Amino acid sequence: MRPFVLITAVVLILVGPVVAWVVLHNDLVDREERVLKDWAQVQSNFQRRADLIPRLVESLSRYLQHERETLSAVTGQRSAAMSSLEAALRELETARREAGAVMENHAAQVPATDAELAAINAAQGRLHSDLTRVIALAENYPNLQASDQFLALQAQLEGTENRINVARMRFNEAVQDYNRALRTLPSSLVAREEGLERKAYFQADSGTAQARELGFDD
Amino acid sequence: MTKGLWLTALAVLATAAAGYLYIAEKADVRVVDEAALMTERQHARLDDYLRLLLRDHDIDYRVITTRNNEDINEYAWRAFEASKVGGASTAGRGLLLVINAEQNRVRMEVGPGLEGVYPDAFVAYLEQRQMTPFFAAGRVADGILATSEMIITRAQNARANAGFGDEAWAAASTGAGATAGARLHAGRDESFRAGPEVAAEATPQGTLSAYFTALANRNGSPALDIYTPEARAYLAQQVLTAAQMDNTVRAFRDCTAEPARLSADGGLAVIRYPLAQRQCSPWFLRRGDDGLWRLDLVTMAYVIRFGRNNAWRFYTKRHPYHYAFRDLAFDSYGHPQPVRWGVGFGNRREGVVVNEIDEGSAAERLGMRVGDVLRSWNGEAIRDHRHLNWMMGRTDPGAEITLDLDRVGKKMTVTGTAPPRVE
Repeated sequence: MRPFVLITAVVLILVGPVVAWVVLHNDLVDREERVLKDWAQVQSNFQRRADLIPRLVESLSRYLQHERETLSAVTGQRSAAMSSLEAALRELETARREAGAVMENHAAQVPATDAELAAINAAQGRLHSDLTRVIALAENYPNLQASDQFLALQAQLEGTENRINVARMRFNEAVQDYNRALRTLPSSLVAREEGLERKAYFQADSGTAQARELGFDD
Repeated sequence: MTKGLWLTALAVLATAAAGYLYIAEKADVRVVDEAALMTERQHARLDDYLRLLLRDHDIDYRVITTRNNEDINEYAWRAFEASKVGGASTAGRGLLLVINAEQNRVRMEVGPGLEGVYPDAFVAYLEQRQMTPFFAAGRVADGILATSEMIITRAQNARANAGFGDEAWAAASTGAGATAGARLHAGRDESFRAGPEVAAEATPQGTLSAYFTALANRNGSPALDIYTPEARAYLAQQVLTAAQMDNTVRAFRDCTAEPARLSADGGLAVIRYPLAQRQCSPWFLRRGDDGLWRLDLVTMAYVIRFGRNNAWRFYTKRHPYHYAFRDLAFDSYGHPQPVRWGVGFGNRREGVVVNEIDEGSAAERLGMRVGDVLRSWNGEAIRDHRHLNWMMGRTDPGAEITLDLDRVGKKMTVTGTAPPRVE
């Protein structure tokens, strides 16, 4: 009887910490997996936006071409409005290429530092505001607003903006959850031992604030 | 920060939370009208409708109206999660409509199980081409109901083509859907309500196809020549949306019209479709003094109703166009039924007596007349009207029939063959 109790106690003392370590480690892995998954979601929505922009540029350019040909008699203000839309379209194309280049450098991995994420954020933020500007300028053309094709394109773009916003909120929640686990006992012991580091998340400046000002059809 | 500011912030948060808590607590509540945009009756009607939508199509559709100052996209997303929209559906299919009266914006949030069926562009089309024109005319509940019909039609098509994605059981929204200006009480929407004149034609079919062409061009002008004068006045009062025009054209594209049925005096015409095409409702036309045919949409609107699955029925049989439907029977809800024998009879003291016979019916061909007292069917004595019904029902198509009857006190025997079965 006595040796059995002794053996059990020794086993528990030896195995207990190992089991606890495994549990804590797995828990951290789960949290990190969620961060990776949510980042993939953010990325795919960025990609979706980038894919839609050429369609917008093409459809607006075609429309402007048509306008120029049919309304050549009306000059002055009209052509000024048209050239500002054209300029906005060119800027949008540039912003798309630049944002694409920034994303290329971070293919498929979660940005490790605040600086990296800030770079992505800045590029995407510029893309967002250029896009908003183009849509706002397009509102001056009632014929465009009456077209179902343009309505569909606009809805897809707006939908993507909203999905980006939701995906960012999700990602931020996941990162904060992960970071908290890194700092709280007992998982912090495991994290320190395994050299895990806190992850960067989106700062509030461009996410929610931008979504609010994005009103295509007020 | 001052105490007052904190209290204000707290109050704002509490108000924002109240909406979803209310729904979350009572999963049974489908409509929360915080902004008071509906009357009690409209509220109840919408609530019933959404309940049926859940029962028949397994779509958990809820509506919140509010006046809070939170961004409508974020509010919709959070309310969707907090209220577990989609939880009442076995497949997690959730839709949430948020109308913010203060911001004058509307958003439909689409759950993950439905994203494939209702993509953003479709939701935007629903909102801008169907819902908000009703809102502009001050008819909020009607706008939501009219949109629900389109949601159902699309759900039916998706089911037919197995287009539903069921993998995401009651998952949180990914932000799918669309937002639009709500245009509440903005005054009648005049887009699509002007267009070139469309002339009435010399045949009923000609006028009907001119009508379809006008709708296909989204010519929603109420003043067209193809309408009767009363129809023009009626249309001028109605909300006619671009989506309704698109739907009508789409709905009748696959309908195979039968030749027009003219009334005895030649002044009225009905264009009908085979009964198997239950969504293809009949058209009523009237001939003007100039001999041209015009659509009598007023009588149609009064007489024809649409049930679930968009199958048509009659609200009443008392209308001048009923001459064209004498070959059909209508059940107590007004649903048309094909007729096999076309005879009505009842029990009287002297026996089973014929009360009515449809023109051109099998009973007429067999030789029955109103007032006949029916004695025996194929040699078997008739006990009562139920017995006769039963015997007629089990007579095979093409079988020889011998019917003994008394006509004005004289014994007679008529013979013939049984008509084919219906349905």
